[in-house]
Amino acid sequence: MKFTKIILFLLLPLFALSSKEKVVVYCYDSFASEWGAGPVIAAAFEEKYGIKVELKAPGDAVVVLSSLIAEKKKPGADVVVGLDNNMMARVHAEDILSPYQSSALKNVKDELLFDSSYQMIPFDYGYFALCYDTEKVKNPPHSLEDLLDPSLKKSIILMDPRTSSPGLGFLYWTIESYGSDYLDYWKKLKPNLLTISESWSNGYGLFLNGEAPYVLSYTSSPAYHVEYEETTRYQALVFDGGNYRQIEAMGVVKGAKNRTGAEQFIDFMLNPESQKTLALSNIMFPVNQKTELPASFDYALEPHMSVELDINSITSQRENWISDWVDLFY
Amino acid sequence: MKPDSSRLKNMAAFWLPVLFLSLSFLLPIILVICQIDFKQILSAPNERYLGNVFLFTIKQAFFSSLCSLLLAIPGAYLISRYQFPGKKLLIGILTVPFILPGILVVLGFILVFGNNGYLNRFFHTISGESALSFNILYSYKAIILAHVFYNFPVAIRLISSSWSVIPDHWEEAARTLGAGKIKTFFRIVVPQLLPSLLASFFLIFLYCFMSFIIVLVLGGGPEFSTIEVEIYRQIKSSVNYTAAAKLALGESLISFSLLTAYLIFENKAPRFSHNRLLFKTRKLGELSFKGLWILYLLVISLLIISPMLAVMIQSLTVKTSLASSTVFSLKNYLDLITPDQSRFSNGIHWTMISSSLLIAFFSLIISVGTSILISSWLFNNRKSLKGIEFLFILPMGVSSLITGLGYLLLSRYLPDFSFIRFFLIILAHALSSFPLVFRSVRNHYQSLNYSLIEAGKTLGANSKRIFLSLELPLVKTGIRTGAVFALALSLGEINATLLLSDGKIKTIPIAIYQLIGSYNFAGACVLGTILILFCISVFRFADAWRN
Repeated sequence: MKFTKIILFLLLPLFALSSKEKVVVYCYDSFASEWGAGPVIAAAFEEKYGIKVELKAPGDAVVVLSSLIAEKKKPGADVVVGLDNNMMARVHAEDILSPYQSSALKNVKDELLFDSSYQMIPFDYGYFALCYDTEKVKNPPHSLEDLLDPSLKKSIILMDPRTSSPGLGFLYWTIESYGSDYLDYWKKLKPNLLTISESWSNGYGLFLNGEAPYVLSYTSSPAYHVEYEETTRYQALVFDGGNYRQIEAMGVVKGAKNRTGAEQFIDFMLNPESQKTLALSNIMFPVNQKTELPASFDYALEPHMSVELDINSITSQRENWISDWVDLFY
Repeated sequence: MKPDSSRLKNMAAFWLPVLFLSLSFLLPIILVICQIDFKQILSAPNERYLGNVFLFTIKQAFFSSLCSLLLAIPGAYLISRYQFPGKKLLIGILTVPFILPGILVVLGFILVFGNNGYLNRFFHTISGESALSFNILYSYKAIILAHVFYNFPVAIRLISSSWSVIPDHWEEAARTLGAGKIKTFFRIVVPQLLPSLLASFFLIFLYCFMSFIIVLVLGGGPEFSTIEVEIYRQIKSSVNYTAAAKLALGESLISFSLLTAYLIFENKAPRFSHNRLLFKTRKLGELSFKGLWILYLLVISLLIISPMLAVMIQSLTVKTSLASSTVFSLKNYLDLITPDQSRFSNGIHWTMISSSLLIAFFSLIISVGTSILISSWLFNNRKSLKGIEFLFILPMGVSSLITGLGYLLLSRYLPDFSFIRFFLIILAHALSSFPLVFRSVRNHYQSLNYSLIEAGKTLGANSKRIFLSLELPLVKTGIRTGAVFALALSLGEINATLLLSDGKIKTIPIAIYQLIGSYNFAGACVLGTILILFCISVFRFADAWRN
């Protein structure tokens, strides 16, 4: 009897899901984690519509995109949450989303509607920025050029553009600013890098652990520390030349089994309550202008200028840019 | 002449497990190979980059092996020739790195050697901020250091087991003829030691060549990618299975050669000897430069113990708020049980432990069960199929990422249920532990005396009875050792599990990896400590039985 009990105890994690009507959502891992926005929004959606939400997180945003592309012929998801504007070229080229013009978009600023074909629907946005530890830095830099200063040797943590969307965003930022000379910039930046981590959470964790005083993150990151830890120790840098914008997006997967459910989920993500949940857990700005934000978001900075690369360059040059960048390290 | 039905049973006892294993191994491999377009096998869009990755992998493996050997030789000398207090403890300590999963090594290293780790904090307190800093992580040196930590105990054991059976009368003869110590060492000892030196070198080279998690986390940049890391990246991020398969093919060719080289030299290395009167073990006091030797022993002991100690200490510390100092508390362990859903939870849950144990248990049954069935058949039919035994070692040369990828491809054709993924993970674990388990069981079978079995038969026992009451008890040491290996390997496996897990299945190594990734050390250390204590106690259990 004891043996059976032990086996049953060990088998508990195995039980699979039932088969009510459901909406399958592909998202990046922080959205689906216990403290992410996913579980909260999913529970509220289930309560309102009686449809079960299944959150599947294959990895971070880049992995989500790759998984969708790999499953093109037999899509496993109905909705995808967590692509971004930098990926639009690939999304259109691979034809993985289906257009949906949600009525909830009327509350969204026009400039955030970066996809005129309505395949990619924005749900939050932010600006990449170098964040720093005020206890270790007295004279922070004000531009990309300032980052080359020799006093910053081995003190910056960045992310790998092949595996991380902030990493990719920063690469595009340097290309937007320096054009074809971006590789020279990186050559001079290299000695100042402590490490290039695989993902944002990897890198940010290193930063919080005191391994380096600068990390690539978002202008809104300080809000997290004010809201949850009541400290203003970590601040973001708004650069003179502007900060690079990232608009996160969701969309209906082409060939989705539950298209109606997918559309309902997208509408639901755009309502003010969900937008507030998203803002507080992703620490990004909500796209719905009617969202009520807490006081901690006063510490989330808006940049002087929003910087973005044009989609045509990205479409044609992306692979070359990345492989040239990788070559720099050998 | 045996009656037909029992002959059939006899054949089944061998061929069923063999077919099962072959299918489990070959099916994923074939699926992976099918991904390659053979007309384009040699072309790759980023040839220069891949060439650099291959070169880097070989370079770091070479230096890691070399440094491991150099660090190991003095230790092997001491252990094989000298008696000293604490020798047994030292040998016990030396077995620990081998059973530690790579992810724990990474965790321990960051805690001890990180920029904000114990070592640097110690330096800062004695020398003031930024005066003396040991900035080694996220670099080539970190990878080498971690590899050496992981592997030099293996070298010490392999070399000392050989050295301790090399008689020293040749050395003494050389000395009486006037040769100096150094000359004696190089001309007399080294040639005899060469097979075990080379065997250690190639084994460590193989491990470092296929290194994955250490490079992934401690490396710190695109220039520090081994082939395994690149395969993982191609599978997970780019979902480019063709590129992954091509890389896997190249990697396997090299790793098979390394495996072959290791097996050749291991065969030649002297191992057992019944002649106990080879030499007198000397006391440590007789050594010259005593101080240096003691320093050496201290350094290697510290090197092995500190990362694990750091993990265990860290699991007991809690920061009550961001600014305050740390206190000792068991709170982190309580998080295993309480479903703390808040942002501040340590992200750990007891289901991670039960998942890991469940997978380990079943994979153990598969690999130990098949090993016993096959070894028993080989023993009872007095066969010694050298070819098949070589084939069974082969999975060691194939990265578990590849079998993982194969199973991932297989899972596409199967319905999408969690328990199917579970089963595939169990299979992958069983395959990766099978070579070691089989060797362990087979070695014990080979030392069995068949006349014992014949005696049993003449007394009237049928084959089932003989198997259960005679064979198994006689080889139980081998089975136990094999079971312990299978358990430890499965508990620590991360490569295939990371690939196959669909996000819902979380084993301990996956959880530790994700927690390290977000620098949530408290949770990682709790799981790490549990893993360390479990591995150590399981090994001591096995060792105690051996004696």
